[in-house]
Amino acid sequence: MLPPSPPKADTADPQLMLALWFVRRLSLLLPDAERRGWLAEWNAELISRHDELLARGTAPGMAGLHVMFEAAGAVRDALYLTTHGFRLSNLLQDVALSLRSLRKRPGFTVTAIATLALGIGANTALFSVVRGVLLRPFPYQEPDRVVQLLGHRAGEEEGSSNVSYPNLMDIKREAAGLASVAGLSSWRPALTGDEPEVLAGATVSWDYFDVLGVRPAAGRFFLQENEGEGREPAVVISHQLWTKRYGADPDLMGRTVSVNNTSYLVLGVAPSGFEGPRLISFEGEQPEIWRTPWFEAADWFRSGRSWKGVARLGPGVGRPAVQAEVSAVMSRLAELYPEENSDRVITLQPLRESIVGQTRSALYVLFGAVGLVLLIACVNVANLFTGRMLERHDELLVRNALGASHGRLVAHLFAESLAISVIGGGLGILLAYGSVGAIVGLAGTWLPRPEAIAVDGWVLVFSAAIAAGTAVAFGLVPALRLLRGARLAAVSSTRGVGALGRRASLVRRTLVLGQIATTVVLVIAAGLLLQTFRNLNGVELGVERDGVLTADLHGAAWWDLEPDAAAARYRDILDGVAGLPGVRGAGAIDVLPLADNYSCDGVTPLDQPPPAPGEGRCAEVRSATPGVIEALGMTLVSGRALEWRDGPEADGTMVISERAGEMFWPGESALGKRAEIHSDTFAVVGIVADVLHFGPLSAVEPMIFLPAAQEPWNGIARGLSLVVSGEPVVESMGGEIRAVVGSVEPLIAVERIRPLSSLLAATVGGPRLRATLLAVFAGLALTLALVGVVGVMTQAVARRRREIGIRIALGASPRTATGLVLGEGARITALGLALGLLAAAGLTRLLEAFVFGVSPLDARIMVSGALLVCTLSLVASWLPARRAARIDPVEALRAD
Amino acid sequence: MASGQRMTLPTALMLSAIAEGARYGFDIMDATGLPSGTVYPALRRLESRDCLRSRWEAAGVALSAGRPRRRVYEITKAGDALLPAARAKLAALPGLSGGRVLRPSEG
Repeated sequence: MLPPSPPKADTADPQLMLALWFVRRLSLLLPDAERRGWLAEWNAELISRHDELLARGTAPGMAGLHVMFEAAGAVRDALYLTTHGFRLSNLLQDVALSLRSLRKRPGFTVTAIATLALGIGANTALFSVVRGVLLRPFPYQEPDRVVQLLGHRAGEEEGSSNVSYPNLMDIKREAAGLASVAGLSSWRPALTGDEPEVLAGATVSWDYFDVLGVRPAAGRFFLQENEGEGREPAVVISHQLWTKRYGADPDLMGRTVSVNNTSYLVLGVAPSGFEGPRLISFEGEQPEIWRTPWFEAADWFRSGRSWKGVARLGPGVGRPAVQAEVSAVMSRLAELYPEENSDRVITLQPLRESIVGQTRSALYVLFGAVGLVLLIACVNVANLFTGRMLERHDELLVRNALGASHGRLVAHLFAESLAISVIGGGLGILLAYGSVGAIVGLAGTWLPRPEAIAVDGWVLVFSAAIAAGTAVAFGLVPALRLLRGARLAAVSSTRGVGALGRRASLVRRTLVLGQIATTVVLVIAAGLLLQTFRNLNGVELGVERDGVLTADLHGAAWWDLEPDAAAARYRDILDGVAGLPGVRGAGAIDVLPLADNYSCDGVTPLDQPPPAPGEGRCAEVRSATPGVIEALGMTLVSGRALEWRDGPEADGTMVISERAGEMFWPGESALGKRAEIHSDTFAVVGIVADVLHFGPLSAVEPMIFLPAAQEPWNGIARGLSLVVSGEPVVESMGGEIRAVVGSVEPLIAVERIRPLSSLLAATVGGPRLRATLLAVFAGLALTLALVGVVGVMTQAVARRRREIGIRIALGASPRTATGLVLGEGARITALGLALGLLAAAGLTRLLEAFVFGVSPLDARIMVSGALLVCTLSLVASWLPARRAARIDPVEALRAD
Repeated sequence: MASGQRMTLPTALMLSAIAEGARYGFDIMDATGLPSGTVYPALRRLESRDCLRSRWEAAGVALSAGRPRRRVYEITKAGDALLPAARAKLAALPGLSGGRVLRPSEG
C-alpha cells in the first residue's frame, strides 16, 4: 500500500528543501522494502508541518528552522529501522560469519592483524612512557604549588642549581609568599650491624615532607626539634626499606637502628610509592632513608652550595609575586654577605619542570614519530580492506539482492574490521607490556620517574581508542563508500566495478606515495640520531672506556678505623687486586667519573690576591687513593700522580686538572701552588688532562684529586669505589676481586660491580634511547611502506593485465612488460622521495636539540636515507612487476 | 506488547494520545511533547508488536488539503488492552493526571 509519489512541494523554502533532501539521503540507509514508504511519510509530515506553521502565521524562516529540526529526528527513526533486525543473535551471527571469512583468508588476516599490532603496540608503549613521565600527577598535595629554588650566578642559567643551606633558611624566614622551604642534600649512609647495607639517602630540612604534602605510612615525620645542633639523631625510612628489611614491623617506630655506627631513632615511614623530587642523584635510585641537619643553619658555611631547595607557594599567591620577593631577599643577603652572595640569584621553577622539563620535548618528538608509524600502518590496513571489498563486490551485490539490507551488509563488514582491530589491538597491548621495560632500561637515568611508567587504565583506554578508530576507518568508511558505488555497479556490473577500482587504485597509489615520503623522514631522523649516538661514543672523555671494572667497597669495617689503619687496609686491598693476573692497576675514589654528582667545593688559592666578593670559584673535589688516576687511564701532563707517601701525617698534596689550573692560577704553572680546600691546605704536585666527568654531553669541569688519606672523613675512613684496569678480561673479574677484598676484611661488602663502560652508557641513556627507538620506528615504517608498495604494484599488474596482454600479443617483449609496471612504481617512489626529502628538510629542525656533532640537514645522511628507501622501494616494485612478463596474452584476453 | 514488559513513559503518553485522537506522527509529537527522534522509533516498535496499525489516508483528504498523503496511526485491540495501564501510569505522575495538552484533532 504505497502512496503515489508525493507531489513536489510548491513552496520554494530552501530550508524545507534542505530538510527534504536530508531525509532522502537518509532513506538510502533503509532496506529497499521499507525505503519508499518511509520517505513518503517523512516527506508528507514535513511538508504538512511547514504548511500548517505558515498558515498559522509563523515567519517562513522560523517554519523552515522548525522542519529542519524535526528532520534531524529522522536519523533516529532511520537508525531504528536499519538496525531493527539487528538483534544480538544477528550481531553474534555477524561476528561468527566474519571470523569464518577471516579464517578463510589467512594471508589477508595475518597481515592486517600483524600490521595493526605493530602500530598499536609501538604507540601504546610510547604512550605509557609519556603518560607515566609527563601526564601522571606527582603524588603530592597540590603538586603544582611545589617549586624548586634554583641557585645560580646572575646571567648563567646552566650549572648545578645548588644553593647554600643558610641562604635557604634565610629565604624561608623572610619570604612570606612561600608557605615553607626545605633543603635536601645527598647522603649515602650504611645501615651497620648484622647485615651492612649501603643506602641512597638524603639530609633534609625537618619540614621537607610537609613541603611536599605527604603523610607518613607509619609513625610520624620530623618536628622542628629534630633539626639543629645537639638534636637527637633520628631517621625516617622508605616504605620499601620498612617492608623489605624490617618486615613492616609497626614496633620499629621509637626503636633505634645503627646507621654509620651511630644510633638513630626511627620516627616514621614514608608512604608507599613516595616519589622524591629527584633533585639529588643516585644514578636513578630513590632515597630510602632521611635524616635532618645536625647543625644550626646560621652557623653553617654560606659558601657551601651542596643543597637543593624546594618550597611550597603560600595559598593564593602567584609564582611571579613570590619570585620578586625571593629576589629582594637575595639582594639583601648579597649586601649582608657579599663574599658568598654577590652575583648569586635564585629562580623559582615549578618542580614538575625541574623533573621532567628536559625530557618533555624529546618524548613528544618520539611520540610524533611513532604516530607516523601508526599512520603508515593504517594506510596498509586500509589498502588491504579496500582491496578485499572490491574482491567481494559480487558477493555483497548478491546478498543485497537476496534481501540483506545495506545496514546488515555494513554491520557485517564492520564486524570483520572490528574483529581485526580487536585482535590487533590486543596483541599490540601485549607487545607494549613486553617492551616498556626495555624502553626504561635503555633510557638509563635519562627518564625521570621510571616507576610511574606502566601500562595502566589510561593507557588501555588510549589503545582501545586507537583500535576503535582504525576499525571505523578501515571497516565502516570503505564499506559505506563501496555500498554507494554498489548502486551504480548493480546496473552494469563489471564497468561499475572497474570505475570503482580505478578510483580506489588512484587513492591507493597516493597513500603509498605518502607512506614512502613519511618513511624517508623517519629514516633520515633515525640516521641523524644514530650518528649522534656514534659521535657521543667517540668523544674523548679523558678516561679509559674499556677494560675498567668498578665496585663499591662498603660496610661497617671502615667506621672505627684510624686514618692510618684505614689507609693500610686500602693498600692491602689494592695491592692484592693489582696482583691478580691481567690487572694493570687499581685504585679507589669517592665518586666515580660519569656518575652524575656535582659537588662544587669552594677552593681558595693561597698565593693569589683574595677573590673579589662573589668571584670565589668552586671545583669538583674528589678523594682518591694512589693508583686511581692511572687505573682510570687519565693522562698525567706534568708533575706526579698521588702516592702512598701522601699520608695523613704528610703535607697536603693534590693533583688537579688542566682546567682547574687555568681557573685558579691563570697564565702560570700551577705546579707547587697551594690552595685551601675544606679548611686544609694542599699543594699541587701533578696536573692531569681534563676529564669529561659527567659524560660526553657535559662541559669540562675543574677537577681536584685530594689524597684520600689526608681527608679521612671524605676519603679513607669510609667506603670508596674501587677502580681496576687491565686486560678486557678484567671486566668480568668481579668474583676474584670479591675474594681479594674478603681475604683482607670479610666485613667489607663489595657492591655494584660493573664496568666503567656501563656508567658511560647511563650518561648517554637519552641519546641511546632516542636513537634506538627512532631506528626501530624507521625500520617498522620501512617494512610497512614496502608491503604497501608490493601491494599497490601487485594491484597495478592485475589492473593492467589486459593491456599488457594485448601488448605482448602485439610483440612487446617480457622485459618491456615488466618495465611498464616498474615505471609506475618508479614514479610513485620518485614522487615519494622528493616529498619526503622536502618534509625532512623542514622537520629535522625539530631534532636540533637532540643531535650532537652532526647538522640536522646533514647531506650525507639525507642522501643515504633517500637512497636506502629508493633502492628497497624499487626492489619491492620489481617483485610484482616480474609477473607482468609472465602474463599469457590468451588468458588475459579471455578473462572478462 | 507483552504484559510482562515495563511500559515506558513515552509509550504511555503516545498510546493515550493516539486513543484520544492524534492520528499522524507529527500530531502525536504535539500531543505528547516528545521529539520526532523519540516518537518515530516508538511508533515502529508499537506497530511491530501489533499495538498500532497504520494506513495511508484517503487521496481525497490529501488532495483537498493540498498536500501529500500522510500516514495515519490507529490503535488495535492489543493496543486497547494496554490503555488502562498507560492511563494508570500517567495518572500516577504529579501534574499530568489525565489533563492533556492535546491540540484539537482535525480528524
